[in-house]
Amino acid sequence: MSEPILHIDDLHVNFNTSDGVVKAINGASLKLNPGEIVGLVGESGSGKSVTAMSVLGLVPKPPATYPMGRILWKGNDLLTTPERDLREIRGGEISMIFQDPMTSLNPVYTIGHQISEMIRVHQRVSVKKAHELAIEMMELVGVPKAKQRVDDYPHQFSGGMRQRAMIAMALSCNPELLIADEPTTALDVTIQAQIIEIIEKLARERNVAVLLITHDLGVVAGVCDRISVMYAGRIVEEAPVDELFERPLMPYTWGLMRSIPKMNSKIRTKLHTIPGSPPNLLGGIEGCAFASRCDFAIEKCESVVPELADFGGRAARCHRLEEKSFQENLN
Amino acid sequence: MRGENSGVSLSYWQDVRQRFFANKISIIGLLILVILVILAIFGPIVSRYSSDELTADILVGPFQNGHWLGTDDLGRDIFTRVTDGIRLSLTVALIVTLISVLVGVSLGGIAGYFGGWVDNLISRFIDTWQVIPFVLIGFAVISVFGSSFWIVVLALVLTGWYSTTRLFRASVMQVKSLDYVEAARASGVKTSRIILRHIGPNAIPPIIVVLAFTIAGSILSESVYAFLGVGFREPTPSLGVMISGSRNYLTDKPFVFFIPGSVLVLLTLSIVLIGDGLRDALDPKMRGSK
Repeated sequence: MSEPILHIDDLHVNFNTSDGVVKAINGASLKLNPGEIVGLVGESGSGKSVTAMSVLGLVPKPPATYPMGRILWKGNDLLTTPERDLREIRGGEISMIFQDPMTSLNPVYTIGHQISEMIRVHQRVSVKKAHELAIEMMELVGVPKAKQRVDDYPHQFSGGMRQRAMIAMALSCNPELLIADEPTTALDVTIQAQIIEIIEKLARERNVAVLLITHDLGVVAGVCDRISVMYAGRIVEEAPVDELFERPLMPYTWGLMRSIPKMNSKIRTKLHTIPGSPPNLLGGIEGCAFASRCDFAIEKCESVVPELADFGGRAARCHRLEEKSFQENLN
Repeated sequence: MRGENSGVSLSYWQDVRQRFFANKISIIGLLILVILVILAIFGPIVSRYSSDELTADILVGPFQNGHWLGTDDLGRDIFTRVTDGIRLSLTVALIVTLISVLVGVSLGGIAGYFGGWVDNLISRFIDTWQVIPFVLIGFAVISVFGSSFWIVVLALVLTGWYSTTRLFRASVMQVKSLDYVEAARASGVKTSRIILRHIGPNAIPPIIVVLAFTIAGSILSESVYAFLGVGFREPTPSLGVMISGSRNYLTDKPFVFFIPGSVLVLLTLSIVLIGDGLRDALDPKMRGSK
C-alpha cells in the first residue's frame, strides 16, 4: 500500500470557554491514501467537523488550542505550517465542500465569478481562461446550459445546483483531497443521491481522495472504501465499509447499525435506539466515553480509556473486545 | 416571487435600481429632494436679493414688493435665505455623513473583523460616549471653539460617528461568520481580499441606508443646535437660525416661521423616504421580488 497523503495522528483539540476547557477532540487518528474515499461518521458534536476544519487550519485560535497531535499532509505537519503556505494548500491541494449550499456562495457575485476566483487564486490564468474553465467545470458536475448559467447569481440556482457549483469550485484546481462536510444534509433526499454520485464519480475519475463527513450511514455505505466512526472526540472504530456493516465491533457502532431503519423487516418492531445522550465534553471524560450508555460496560470502562486496538485490517476501541467470548457473541 | 426579468440575470445593482424605482413613495421623496436641490442651486442666482441684504420691506407677505416668499423682521428676502439655508444644511449634512461613515467603516470594520480586545475597547468607548447627551456635546464644542462652519461640522460628527461605527461593526460580524466567507477562506483566498471582496460588499448595504438617515439626522441636529443658539448664528442663513428668529412672529406673521419650517420638514422627510426605499431595495432577501 502506498504512503497515506493525509495522516491525522492522535489529534487533540481543546476549546477554552468561559465555563472551562472543552476537550472536543481527544485523540483522533485517521489515514487517507491517495484516491481513497473515507467516511467519517458520528453524531452531532462528536468532533467530525472540528477534525476536518483542523486539517485546513480553519478553526479559530483562540478559542481553540492544539495541545497534542499532528496532521501530516504529505509528511508536513499542517498544524505548524505558516498561514501563508496553508493558503496555498487550501483550495489548491485540499479543498472543501460545506454543508449548506444556500449560504456557502457569496450572494453578490455570479457563480462563474466565484469559480473563476478560486481558479485564479491558485493558477496563473487570464480572466477569460478562468471563465472558460469555470464553464467546463460546471458542465462536468452536470449543470445544464452551463454557458448561460455561469453568469447567474446564487439566488437563481436551486439547492442541488448550488451544491453542484460548490463541487465544481472545489474540484476546479485539481485538488488531491476533497473534504466534504455533510455535503447532502441540507438537500432533498432525491438530490442527495445525485450529489453523492457526482462526488464519487469525479473523485474516482480524477483520483481525488475524499474525506466524507456525515451522520447518515446510508450516504457512506454506497461510496466509501473505509469508514471511521467518531464518538465524543475519539475515533472508536475504523474498518472497510463492508466489514463495518456486516460485523461492527465496538458496541457504539453496533448500536448505530441497529438504529438504521430497514425496509425489508416484516415484523413491525420498534426501531432500536441507543439510550442516553453523548457526554458533555467540558473538562474531558475519564475512561471510555461511551461507557455510561453501553450495555456491556464493565468497571474498567469507567476509568481507563481503551486503546484503538488492531483487529486485522480494522480497529476498535473497546475493553470487552479483549475477551474472545465477547467478540464471538457480538453478532 | 420572481420579477418580470426572471431568466435574465441582473447584476445586484441593476436589481436594486429596478426595485427602488418600483417604490412610489421613495420616488416622491426623490422628486421633492430634486426640487429642493434645484432650488438650492439656482435660487440664489435667480433671486434679486442676497441672503443678508437688508431692505426697507419689513415683514411683508409672500408675493409683495417683488419678494416671492416675503421678508423677515430685518427686511431680508425669505426666498433667498431659505434656498441658501437648504444649501447650507445639505452641505453640512453631507460632510458630516461622509466623515461619520469613514470613521464608522474603519473603526466598525476593525472592531467587527478582529473582535477580541480591539472590539471591546472600541465598543466600551462607544457605550461611554453614548451616555453624553448630544446637545451637551454641541454646547461644549461650540462654547469652546465658537460657531464657525467646521466647528458645527465637528460637533455633529462627534454626535454621529458612533451609530455608523456600531452598525458597521454588527454588519461585519454577521457577514464574517457566514459560510461563504468560511468557504472563501477554505479556498485559500487572502485575508485582505476576503475583507474587501467578500465581507465589504455584503456589509455595506445597511450603511447605505443609514447614510440617508444620518443625512436627515444631521440636518435636523444642525437646526436644533441653531435653534438653541449653539450652532450657526445670525446672520448665517441656516434653516434653524431662521426658525429660531421667527418665533416672535408666529401669531402675527406665521409665514416667517412656516416657510423655513416646512422646507426643513420636506427636506428631512424626502431623505427619509429615499432611505426607506433604499432599505427595501438593498435587502438581498428581497432580490427578484417586486
